[in-house]
Amino acid sequence: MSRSPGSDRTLASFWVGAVVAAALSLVGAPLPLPLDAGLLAHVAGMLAGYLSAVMVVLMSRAPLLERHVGSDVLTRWHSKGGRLFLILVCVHAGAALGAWAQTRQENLVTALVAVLGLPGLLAATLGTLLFFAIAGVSIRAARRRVSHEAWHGVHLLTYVAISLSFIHELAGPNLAGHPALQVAWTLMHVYALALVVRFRLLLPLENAWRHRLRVEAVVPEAPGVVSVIMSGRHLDELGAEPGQFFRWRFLSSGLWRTAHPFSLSAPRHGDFLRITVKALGGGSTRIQTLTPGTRVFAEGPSGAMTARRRTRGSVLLIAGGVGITPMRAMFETLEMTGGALTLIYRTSRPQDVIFRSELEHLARLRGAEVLWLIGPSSSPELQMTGQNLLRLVPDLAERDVYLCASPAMSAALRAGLAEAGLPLRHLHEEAFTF
Amino acid sequence: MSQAASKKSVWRRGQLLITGAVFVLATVIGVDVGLHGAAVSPVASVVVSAAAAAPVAGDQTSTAAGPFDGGRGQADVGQVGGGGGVRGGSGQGEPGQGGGGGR
Repeated sequence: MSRSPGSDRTLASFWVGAVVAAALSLVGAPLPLPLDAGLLAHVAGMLAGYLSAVMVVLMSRAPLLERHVGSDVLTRWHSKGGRLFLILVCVHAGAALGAWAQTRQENLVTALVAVLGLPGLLAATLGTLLFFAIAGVSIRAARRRVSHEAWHGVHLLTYVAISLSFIHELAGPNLAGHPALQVAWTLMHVYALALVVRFRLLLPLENAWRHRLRVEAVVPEAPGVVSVIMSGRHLDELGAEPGQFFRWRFLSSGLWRTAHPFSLSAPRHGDFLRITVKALGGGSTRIQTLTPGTRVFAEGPSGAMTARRRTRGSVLLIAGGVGITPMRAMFETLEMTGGALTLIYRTSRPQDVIFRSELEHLARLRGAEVLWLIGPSSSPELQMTGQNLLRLVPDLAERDVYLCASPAMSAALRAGLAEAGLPLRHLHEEAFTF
Repeated sequence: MSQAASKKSVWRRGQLLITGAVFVLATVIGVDVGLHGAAVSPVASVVVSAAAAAPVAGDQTSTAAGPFDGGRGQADVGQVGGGGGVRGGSGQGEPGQGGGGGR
């Protein structure tokens, strides 16, 4: 999968920050450095504190990160970082408790009671328990059973958990007594929170005021699939590119609490935007019954799967099911100077196909090609093997490939495309399970 | 410049101004909390709880937390401070100061 230079630079800067945080844990340590449980607790604690701020930055929706790294990459980092954070917190707590018990010749229960009595420690412990509860609803098995709205609500507790832990961080022996370090550490957390306030709270409000988005019409496209057409003002200022998505918050009953991510299914046309939504959960089902006139808040645009990633003349777009939405927008707008444009559209049943007439019209208009792969995945000729893909698009290894499909289909396609000889730096995709 | 372009430019400048204001406020809060600790920070008290009279720096008893490494965090008056522990032994902190000490 292609990675933008922006993501490499961002990751490198986070690692530099981690090294600095680990170095701070050595401030004031006696020399020679004792390699003991105490040192382990210091290093793990500082890294956990640093990582909690990084986690907030990753999910702040800061445009620079969204544009240059991509939402899916940020989400993946957030997911991996979250696991690492919990490990670091456990190591920190365990090592600190062990060191306390050892030096005071106490058993672990007595040590635990004594440690929890220290200022800020009880709050930090509650914060840690909250982090574990949040992680519990985020693991894959639990998320399948939890609605997006419930998961989102629980995830908001992260800010409470970080606040509860913050006093302990500031009061800890690595920072206490070092005003400059305390200020720097606090600024790190406050700036992370400022990014969230600026880009997840204020910006959507400003955009709502500026663009006055409203639902204009809800158009059925297929069973359980509708297009929502929205009108507004100054929509050119949004700078939305085909392939990108917004997080939409519809101000109607049952929908206003949560923003749902959906790609534009067509480029902006004048004062109109369009998304296309398949009923897969509670929120997306309620969207099917939106009424014209409903006010809409839009966060975005987000996503880096745009024409900017393109480096070759010919392009292959691959869509699975409702993954056609960003591909439909790109199919209309990708520059075709001297190159070929092909769209592979895969669905299980004929009735699941959406935009058939639009795609056929665009293909005729632009001299592009649509290949319909409709049928069960058990059919050998419909499987995403390198051989089948090369049969469909013999020069695919020479193209840029854009992909939007379910996680299972995307995984099969990645293997198939690699087998067909496509260097994966020319594969551009953005995948979300939610 | 057309009227539309001019309005767009004003809007963009307004957005930059809001971004600047958010980060200036964040800096004020961050420096204040970093110097005084959230529990005694005047700005944090006003922002978070709108408390009329924030505790005066120095009144706070030590919030030291250094269970496993004494002798590190020595805090100034009014700041959160470090405590005694493994390496330095169990230190005693003056009220409003960090703990510390050593064997």
